[in-house]
Amino acid sequence: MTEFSATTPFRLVRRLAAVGQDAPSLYLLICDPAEMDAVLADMAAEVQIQLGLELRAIAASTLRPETLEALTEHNAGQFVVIALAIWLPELISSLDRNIVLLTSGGAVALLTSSDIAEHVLISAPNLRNRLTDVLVFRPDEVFGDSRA
Amino acid sequence: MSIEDDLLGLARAREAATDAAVGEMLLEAPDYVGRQLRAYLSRQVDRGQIKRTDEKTPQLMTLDGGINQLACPEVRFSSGAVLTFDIKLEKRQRGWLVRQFRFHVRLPRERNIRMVRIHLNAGSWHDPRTVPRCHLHIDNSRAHIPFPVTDPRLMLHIICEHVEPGLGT
Repeated sequence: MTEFSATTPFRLVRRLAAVGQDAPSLYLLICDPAEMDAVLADMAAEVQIQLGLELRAIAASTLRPETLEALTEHNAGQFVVIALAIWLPELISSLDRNIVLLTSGGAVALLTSSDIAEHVLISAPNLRNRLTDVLVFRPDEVFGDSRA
Repeated sequence: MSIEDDLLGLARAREAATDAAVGEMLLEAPDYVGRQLRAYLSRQVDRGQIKRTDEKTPQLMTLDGGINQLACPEVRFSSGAVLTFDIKLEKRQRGWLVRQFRFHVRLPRERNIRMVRIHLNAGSWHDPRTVPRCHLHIDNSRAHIPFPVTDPRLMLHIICEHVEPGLGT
């Protein structure tokens, strides 16, 4: 497995705030599959507080190659995260062919496990070339309650 | 009525107004407020007013009795000033009540004033003439100067924008 830079939802959103969320950018985000919901919740809170936007989380399994165009119609008030919990080769192939469309509306993130991320990087060269960064969420760095 | 009774009545009326203001000041969940404070501190870092902060600041802890505490052990300003604060929040039906807070600012050596402490106590003192529930201390003075009840997020802003850069200069 390739080593990628570690980040947190806070740091990622801070970075988006610095470059501007309207700038076309594409992130491949890696987390433990069991932590995916927690990461999405953490990101949603940070996106709301730091950017004043709504996080639009889309389960990749609900997407169809023929409806990808709808992804590009996201509003300026949203940050799109596609949660890829299982390997979907047809969908990734379609994303790869339509990569320009995907990022035309602003920042988009693909959230997945390390294994699926490896598949994506190998099988989707256009997507790989368009990536702004590949980042890993470490579970111990997620902000939250600690018991006194 | 003696003047002492009159003063006590006035102080109690002020404390009742303070309690009412605290009761009206319901916040979002502690986790959310903590994120807002962290984002605010980060923006101050970007502006160069504050040195790099710990990403886990403020720290959120659950204390006995279900009280949640947001604690910031140390924020260092570029000027040399140091801020510490803690905020205790209690869950109510309509939101989170600010039960208590303490903001301490140690100002740089060259300032005429070396320290400012702003406190909201958990409850009123038996003699509100001497200790208002929400008060300000200058330096190590034991004088408790009444301070208006202020949302902790606004308090942080007042400290960063006005107290730290301007006090004692």
